[in-house]
Amino acid sequence: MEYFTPSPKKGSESKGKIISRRAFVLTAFKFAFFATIVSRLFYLQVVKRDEYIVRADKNRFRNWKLAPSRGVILDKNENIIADNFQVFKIAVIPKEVKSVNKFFLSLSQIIELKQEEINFYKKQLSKNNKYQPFVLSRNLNWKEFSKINYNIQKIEGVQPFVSYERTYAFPYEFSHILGYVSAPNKQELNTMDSNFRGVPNLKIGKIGLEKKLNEDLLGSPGSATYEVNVFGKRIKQVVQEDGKNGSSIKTTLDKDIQKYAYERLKNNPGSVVVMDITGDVLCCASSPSFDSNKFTYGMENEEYKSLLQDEKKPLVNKALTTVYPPASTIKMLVALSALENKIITKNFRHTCKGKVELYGQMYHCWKDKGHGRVDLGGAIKQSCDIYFYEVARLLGIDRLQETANNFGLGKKVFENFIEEKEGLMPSTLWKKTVLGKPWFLGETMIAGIGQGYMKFTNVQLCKMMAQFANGGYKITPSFVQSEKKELNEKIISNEEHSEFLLQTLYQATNEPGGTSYSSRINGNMKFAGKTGTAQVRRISQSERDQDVKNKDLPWKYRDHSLFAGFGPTNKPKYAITVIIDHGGSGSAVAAPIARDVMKKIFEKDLKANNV
Amino acid sequence: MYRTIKKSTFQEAKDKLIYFDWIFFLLILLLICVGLLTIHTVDSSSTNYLFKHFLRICFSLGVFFLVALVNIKFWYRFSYVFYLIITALLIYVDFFGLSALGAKRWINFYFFNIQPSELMKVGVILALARYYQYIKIEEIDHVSKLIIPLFIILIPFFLVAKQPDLGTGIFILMVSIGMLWLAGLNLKIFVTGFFSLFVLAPFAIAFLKPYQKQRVLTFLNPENDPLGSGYHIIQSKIAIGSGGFFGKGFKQGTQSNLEFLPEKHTDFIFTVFAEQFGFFGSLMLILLFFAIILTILNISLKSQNNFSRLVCFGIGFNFFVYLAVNLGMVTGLIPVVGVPLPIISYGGTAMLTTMFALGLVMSAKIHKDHNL
Repeated sequence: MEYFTPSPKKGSESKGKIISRRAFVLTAFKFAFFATIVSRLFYLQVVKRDEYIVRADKNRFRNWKLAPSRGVILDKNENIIADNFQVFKIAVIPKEVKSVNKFFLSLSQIIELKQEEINFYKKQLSKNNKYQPFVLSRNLNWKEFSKINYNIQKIEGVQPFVSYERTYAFPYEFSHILGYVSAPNKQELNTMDSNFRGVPNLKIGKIGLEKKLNEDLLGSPGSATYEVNVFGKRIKQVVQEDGKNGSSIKTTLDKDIQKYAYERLKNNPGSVVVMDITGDVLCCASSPSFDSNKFTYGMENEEYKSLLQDEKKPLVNKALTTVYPPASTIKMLVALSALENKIITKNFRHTCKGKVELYGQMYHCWKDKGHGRVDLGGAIKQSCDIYFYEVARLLGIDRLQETANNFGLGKKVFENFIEEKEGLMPSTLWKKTVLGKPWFLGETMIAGIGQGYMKFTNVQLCKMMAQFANGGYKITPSFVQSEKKELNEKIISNEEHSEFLLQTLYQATNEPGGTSYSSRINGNMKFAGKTGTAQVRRISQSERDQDVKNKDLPWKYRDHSLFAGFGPTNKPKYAITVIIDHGGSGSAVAAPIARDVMKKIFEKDLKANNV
Repeated sequence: MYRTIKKSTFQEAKDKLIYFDWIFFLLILLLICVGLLTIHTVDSSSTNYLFKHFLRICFSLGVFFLVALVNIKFWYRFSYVFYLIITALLIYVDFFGLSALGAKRWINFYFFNIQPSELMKVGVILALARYYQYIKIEEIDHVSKLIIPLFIILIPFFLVAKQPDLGTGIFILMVSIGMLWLAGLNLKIFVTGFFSLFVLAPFAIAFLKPYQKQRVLTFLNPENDPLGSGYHIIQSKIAIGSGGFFGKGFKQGTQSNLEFLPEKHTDFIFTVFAEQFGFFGSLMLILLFFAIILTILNISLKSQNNFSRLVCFGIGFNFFVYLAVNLGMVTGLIPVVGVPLPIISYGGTAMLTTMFALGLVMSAKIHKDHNL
């Protein structure tokens, strides 16, 4: 190893210098690199500091909105008809989950999940906004809920939370009038306050009073900010902002009457409306019905389809949405209009021979043999059609339309009820502008018995009846209790007219020969009303000849059965209308139902007075 | 200095203590303390990192003293042997090592898992320093004198890259190039080398594993895939940036406490530190590192023999590459490669290697007047 000798050689001497020189160059390079790192740190930590603080906060803070508890709906006696209950739910924000499959896999290891359920959620999840919480529709029980909270680290992105869900005490009886709640869709969400965006398990009223009163019932959402770790586990709560729960609403509905009316309707598709003479609606039942609780969680597609396709239309509120020809129930109004316009007096007489011919067209009375010579009282009592053809002919459609408008026929009864229909009260002007055709006299005549273009909703007829019953004062019906309404705008100028008409109605129900005599109520409290049988198609001559019975026709061609009445007769307080779809004659089907419901109301009133 | 009288062992030990660089040692101790402090902030009762880290420090400090007190002459004679032993270990690892994440990198000793590729960084430095100790400056650029260094460099490179651990492979390559440069190779050789590498790069890419390609791509655009591979870089930048000038305070780092930072106790430990102590603290830490590098430079310049110089420069450079790659990575300047921050990061072999290397530097300082 002679080259290890310590004597410095020339080469190695200069080599040491090279090493030192290059070491200096390298050190300069290192220095430059450190300067780069320091300036990079300066850029990140000083220049961009605020931006990164925001991003760090975005990492760790999760704002979780809290759906407010929906306002309770009460009936007039403070019985709860729409309530809320506490539910345990889970949500997930799609943006925070790396793999949806993994999420459901780890979830199904903690709680039981069927494959179909997972597939269903996955499909829904794919439609959800990526940044908004997606709530699994399933409600967890307490055991599952605590299990998830315990194992929260194992399921990335899961957000267990407590919320409230709507529940209806009488899901079938009140389903149409109360409506139901469900998750808002995109357009609905866009019209709402921006506060409501991203509120998990938010439900809004979709129809009925839930929709009409949604704003009051909804309240405003609260929010809580949590510090979370990378797994989404809440470490601590940072801020809490309380929302406002929805205010409870006392309606004018009577739970017992509604229940009874629905019970009574059960097998008859149709509706019952009861209001007091000031316009408070006591009962608004429609049949057949559906379970409004099911909409809260999202109904199965098949079930919804079968409801939608049912020919008896269980999803439709027949009291507000369906329009019917008023048939003979309009005769009161025709008589009033004629009296008020001084076309006839109550002593005006006309002969009914069962049919009458005009310009080659035959017009029939419901009674083939005819009623003989009748005056106004008799014509209403027996519901003579020929008499009212004549009155209508003398009166003319436009004067009738004016009176009908005063009574609110052909106009919406309520405000902001999306499912309410306007119906139609025709006039010559209407026909000209809308149909572009002239009015025919024959159309005036059939208008006299409530057929033809005329189409009203049940609530319109009930409002009409209530206005007769209160002596001719205009009312604004409503479902929400407010201060006692004042009756001051008169729509019947002569009090004698209203008294006379109520008297004839009394006779129609309570005297032999009246159309609804078989449906009278015995006792101190009596009720009275007008039946109606609305044709839904023209009866051909051959059918008249063969005397085809209504019940032999297919269901959808049968007559609608109507009844409009009031009670008690000595001191009118309530108006009632019953319409049974394709039920047959008014006296056979609608009148008995109206009687039973009215009886129930009388009994309730008596009981209340005795106590 | 002339040593004609053989000194007693006691005298010898006393001399060694005199030449022991206390400032250098103090700087290292300071760094160790910073490391313990930072590990403490990411520790929890279930992980127990702090205790394990402390044990490793004790062991590594023992190694440091052992290496430092042994004459540099011994390391000179022992360098090839050392290099060969580690090469043998590397070969062993490639066939019998423990695998983790698809790569075989570890050998299981009874109390310790050892990563020979880490030790190889020092192995190459020692072997090259020894080789260039006797190469004359006139001969250094000769092709025949390049063959052995190339073998010294490329054998471990391929063994490590095969594991596969391209990051460490490139690391070894970089340290080796630094060594060649320091040894005095003509600049032209480097230029030619870089040029040919540039031409060959597209072919090399074909040999990359898919995940390695992904890493490079992710580095080029981390925001593209925020929940995937780019996640590390983004979270790291957020942690550093949100620290601000003075930091969020001791143990107040939200990014690390809430576990948004991946690998926070190992490769991304600087991020944890920077989040808590801000720009000011980071600057102090970098200055501390730079002070150590300058001290190493100082020691190497004062060494009497080229072997010591080359070893010290090499170790200084190695230390620098560690820092550069790690800091560059966590600040988002270069792609994510698994390189720990020396002394601070949790991890056995890296700590051992670093302390072993610093021990060599200390040995060079203590025995600076000794001839080989």
